[in-house]
Amino acid sequence: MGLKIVSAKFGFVLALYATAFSAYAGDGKLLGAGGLISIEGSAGGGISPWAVIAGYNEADQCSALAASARVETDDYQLQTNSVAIGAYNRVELSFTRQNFTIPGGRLGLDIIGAKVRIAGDLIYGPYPQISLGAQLKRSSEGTTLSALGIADQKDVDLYASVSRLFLSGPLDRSWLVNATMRATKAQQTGLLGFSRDRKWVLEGSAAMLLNRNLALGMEYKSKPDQIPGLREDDWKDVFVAWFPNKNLTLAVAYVDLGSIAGRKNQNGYFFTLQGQF
Amino acid sequence: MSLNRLFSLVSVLALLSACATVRTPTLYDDLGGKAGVARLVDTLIAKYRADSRINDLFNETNFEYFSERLNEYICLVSDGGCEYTGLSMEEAHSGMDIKEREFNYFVEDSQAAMTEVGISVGVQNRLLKVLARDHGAVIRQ
Repeated sequence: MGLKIVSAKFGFVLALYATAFSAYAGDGKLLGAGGLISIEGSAGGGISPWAVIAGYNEADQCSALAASARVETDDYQLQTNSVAIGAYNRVELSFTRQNFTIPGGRLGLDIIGAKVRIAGDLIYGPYPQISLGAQLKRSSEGTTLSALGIADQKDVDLYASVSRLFLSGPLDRSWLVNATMRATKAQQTGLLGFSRDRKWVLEGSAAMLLNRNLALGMEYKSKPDQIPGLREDDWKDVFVAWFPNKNLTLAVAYVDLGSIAGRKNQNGYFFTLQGQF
Repeated sequence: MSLNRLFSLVSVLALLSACATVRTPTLYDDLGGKAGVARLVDTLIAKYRADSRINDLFNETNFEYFSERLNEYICLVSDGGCEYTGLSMEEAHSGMDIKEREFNYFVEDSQAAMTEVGISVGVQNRLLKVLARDHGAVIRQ
């Protein structure tokens, strides 16, 4: 009896989802307004979350997305695979697996992300879009971290983002501007574990839409820099994002990740491909 | 000599008056003035009517009337100096319950129409910016 009720409820929820997904594929936002799936899974730029909700869903739509990104610097490789759901331009859930190849070994991080739009709108009305988000991070290569003497292997990043797309900004182009405040204990975003103390860091991005399909932008991500015995630098990048349609997004970036685990001047390339279903 | 001076004076005055009448082009001018906007409105309406995502909203529309008001309205918001004789945005969309996504479909169709009539991306953005101010008055009425 109880099982029947549970399965009926489950069936109802499934039917609700199926209806939500099939009725509208999530095409209600303007091209580019869903941002990218960042390397941490949250919609935004390449390395920083924005207030936007993943995908092209508007108030009565849902979207499912998958993204794969690769960062290659002089000494390291980071491969990230993400899935995300954006619902009603209100809520975003994501899961990301990061594989970090280091000289002579590998590290990894699993990230569950959640974001809620709490106020405003990206484009319309008097107020910019404001969202709150969380990223639950857990090392997937705990033994390697333990061998390196890093005890804290999971924690939560909390952030607040403000985003606005100005339809006609400088040069008569559309501009997207974002600022994110993050409270974090993560060392190199968690790939090197977590510290004792939570620190506030600021992340900023600006992108200019050259036309409907092509954006040119830059990002700056402050880092806590509190890894014992190691220097951690701020991250920056310049990127080009291409939105050929609402199902496909590609971006390439030149990244400057500074010093990572004792190896200086980690510059390189970032490439990401994402699809919406 | 005095004739020369008179000529100089006339020339300077002519130049000054020329300067005085030179004005920076308005958005309306950049849209091609009356003829440009008329062509744009024809293309806009054709795009809206062809779009199955939104054309149900025009089931009861008198297109001749709609076209005239849209010409006036675009002229007004693009500083073309026209008088808009239609209903307020709230009244005009009352009972239509236009959704957020539908507003964006209109934006997309408008972009396609502007591209089709040869309006540059920059001028498109300037028009979209002024029209987007009506978002709150248009949706969910």
